[in-house]
Amino acid sequence: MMPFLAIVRVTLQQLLGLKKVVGFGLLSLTPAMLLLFAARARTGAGLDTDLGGLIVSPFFSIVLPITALILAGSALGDERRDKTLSFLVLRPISRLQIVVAKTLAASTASIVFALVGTVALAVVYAMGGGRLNVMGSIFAGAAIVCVVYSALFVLLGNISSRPTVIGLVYILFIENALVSELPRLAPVSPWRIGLAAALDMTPQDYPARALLGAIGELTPSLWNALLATTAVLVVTIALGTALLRKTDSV
Amino acid sequence: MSSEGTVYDLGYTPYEGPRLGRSGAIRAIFVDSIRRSLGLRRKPWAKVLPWALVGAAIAPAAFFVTFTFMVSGFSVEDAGAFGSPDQFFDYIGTLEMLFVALITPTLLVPDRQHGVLSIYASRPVYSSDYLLARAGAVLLLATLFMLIPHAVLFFGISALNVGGLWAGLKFNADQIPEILITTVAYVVGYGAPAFLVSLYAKRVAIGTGVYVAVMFMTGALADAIPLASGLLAFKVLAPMSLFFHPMTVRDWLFDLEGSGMPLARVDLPQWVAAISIVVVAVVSAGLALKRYRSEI
Amino acid sequence: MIEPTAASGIEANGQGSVDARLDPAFVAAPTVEVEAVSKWFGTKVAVSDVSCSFGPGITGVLGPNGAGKTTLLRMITGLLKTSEGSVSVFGMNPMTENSVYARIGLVPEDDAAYGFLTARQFVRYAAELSRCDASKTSVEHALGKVNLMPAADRRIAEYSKGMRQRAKVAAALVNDPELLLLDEPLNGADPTQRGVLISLFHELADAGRTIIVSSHVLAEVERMTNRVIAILDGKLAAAGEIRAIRQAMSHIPHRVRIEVDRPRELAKALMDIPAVVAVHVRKDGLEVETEDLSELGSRLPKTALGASVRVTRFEPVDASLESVFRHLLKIRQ
Repeated sequence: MMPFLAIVRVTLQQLLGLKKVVGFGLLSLTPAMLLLFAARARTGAGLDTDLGGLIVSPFFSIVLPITALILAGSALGDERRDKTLSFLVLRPISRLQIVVAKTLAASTASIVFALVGTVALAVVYAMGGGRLNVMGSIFAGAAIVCVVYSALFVLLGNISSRPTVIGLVYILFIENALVSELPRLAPVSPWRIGLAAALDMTPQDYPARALLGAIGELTPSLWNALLATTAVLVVTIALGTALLRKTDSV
Repeated sequence: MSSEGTVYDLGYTPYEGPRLGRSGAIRAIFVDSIRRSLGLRRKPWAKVLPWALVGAAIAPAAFFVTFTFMVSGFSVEDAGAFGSPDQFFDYIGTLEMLFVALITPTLLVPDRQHGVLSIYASRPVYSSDYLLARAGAVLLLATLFMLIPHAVLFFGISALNVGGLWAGLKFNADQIPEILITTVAYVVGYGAPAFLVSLYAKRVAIGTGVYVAVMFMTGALADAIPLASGLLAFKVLAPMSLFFHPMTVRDWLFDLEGSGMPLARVDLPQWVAAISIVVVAVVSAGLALKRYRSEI
Repeated sequence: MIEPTAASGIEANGQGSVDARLDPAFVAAPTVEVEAVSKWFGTKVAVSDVSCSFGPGITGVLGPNGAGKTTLLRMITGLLKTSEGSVSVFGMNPMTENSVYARIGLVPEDDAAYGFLTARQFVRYAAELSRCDASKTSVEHALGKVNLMPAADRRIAEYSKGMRQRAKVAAALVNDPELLLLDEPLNGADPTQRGVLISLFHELADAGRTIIVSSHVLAEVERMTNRVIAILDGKLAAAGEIRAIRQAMSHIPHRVRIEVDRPRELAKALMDIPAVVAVHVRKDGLEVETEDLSELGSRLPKTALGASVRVTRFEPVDASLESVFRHLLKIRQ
């Protein structure tokens, strides 16, 4: 357990440096700032719609993916590029534990910023008279989004030397542009999966029309989201472990 | 053999070729920048991303020309929905931003990261020369990235003109200055912030990610400004919408209303976008010179 | 080629194969065994059919840049898979048994350390990853061995190259490894730090650790050890004690400097010794080339007496590791 926790701790230290905390913190606060602008003009049902719109874009569709991309892409990728990977693998600890620890650390770091964003949204929402009972489900959905993206981008960072640009092309064009035009492709969009989970947990009386349109042909279901998350985790961790075991690549 | 020392002739001969001087050094850095950005003379993997983006930019233009031909044949009278250059800027604007996000950190960050700036310092190169060469490459490549698809569209639609290619070119010629100036607005509008971020980023990935995040954040904030809002805060925020400024300049030049743009929402004139682009470019240039003065 | 001689400890049987028990490339109680190992990357052969073993004490692995030293070390640690042959460490395959890593310390050649950690955090991290004592005492003990305690709480990114190297050595030592692999360990170290590190390696070797040092800085290797393994173009070129390797190069005359009061008289007398190939008269003495150093050494006193000269110094000049290595390179070419 000690090596595993040590890897998680040091990776979090690497990912949560001061500049990154400030930068991603500001990024995470963007949806709340936008809600603040909207709140000046609206209250009640209008504010709920604004919150819904902002959760879709930019919170779930831009802020969370980009945060996870940069953090998770560097979790293992930087070790390979900085040639510190041999320091890690030449230890009495399995490659599987290394990959799991890295994924856990990246997910945790992303979830921290998701929490910052959610809390800020909750504060602004409450100031505008909104109900707070929806924020728990939004945070849970955001956490699922963070875990899925982190798993994918830890693997991408391990495979490619340009994970950020590849990830951005995926986020901006495939997820946000292509899937918007072709709702049937919604299952390949992690943020829509997380949003569907959030919708499943949202109180029944919450006007979630803006959110439903964004998840394409997905059904609001926490259970499906958890299954999808587990599947992604298993596949990405298995591939990452196999890649680390391919000794010549270290 | 003397007791103090002996020099052995190892066959060294001094360089007798032409000495290209400072301009030669700048040219060499410029050419290296082009190669590095496009992955030329590098492994195949280095070419995939930049050329994929180039392909993604040209493909819509080719598609639009083909589609217009299929609909109208050689009897096009005006460009229509698919041939108008002002709308085409919408299609490739985000691609241009991604392209700039790809190449700019790649050109500036690795030299600092790997500590090779001292090699440049040992040559007849000033920090301004180095930055000029790097920035020049970014500007050239970003300009070609926008202009080549526009050229495909322009010549393609002109060729389908009912009066033939030459008539089509004459018919559409008045768009050329607007296309060129709008291209400059996009190139500088997206290139200058990328340059600014890359001056300070410690890694290429961070530079790319931070730049895209900043563009989206400022854009999203400005996009949220309510219509016809009179608040001073919004009037300050609108000129900071880096993502929308090139589009606003396009609207200005093509004489489009652009009422959805952040500046329009706060009743600021469209030329403010051009001023903002210039200000960011000047600030980037100044900070670049300041930062690199001590490095090279 | 190196002729099998009694001095080299190599015996050749009739079929041309070597008795491994006497081959100086092998040791009696090995910690690491390398058996017919080859490694190629595409068409490039990095290591070709190398067999040797390493035991307690310090062994130098020498070779010019690109010879295959680092590749060999990486195969020993299991970071690279062998294309042919096998490696065993403590009797185990390092690629399949990661428990062996608890007993290994590696100082890689790459300037690889976590810049955002302090040296103290870095060494503690190494201890935790190795599942050993990560207490403050243990960490400070490792840092103290490399004289890094004064800078222990500064970030590694702020360190000089020599300090980063010492941090890596401390991280490799914290788990008290039985096998220590050092790839260019003195890179960037100033002369004082080199002395400290070399003393440390001697101390560890005296305590029974197996230490493998890879370097192309021969003078440093010579300070550390007398047993070397030389790799040239991926192949094992020589193995054993430095002087014995030199002795084995019987076709290359030894060069000896003799300080004498009347050089010409001694020179005339030395030419009568059959083992002497050439004599060069210098201002301060003679430089003699001989096929058999021990014969020259045994016959010199009588010869000097006969010539009525006074010899004040007798010094082989090409028995250093550098000279031996230069000869090896010439042989290879």
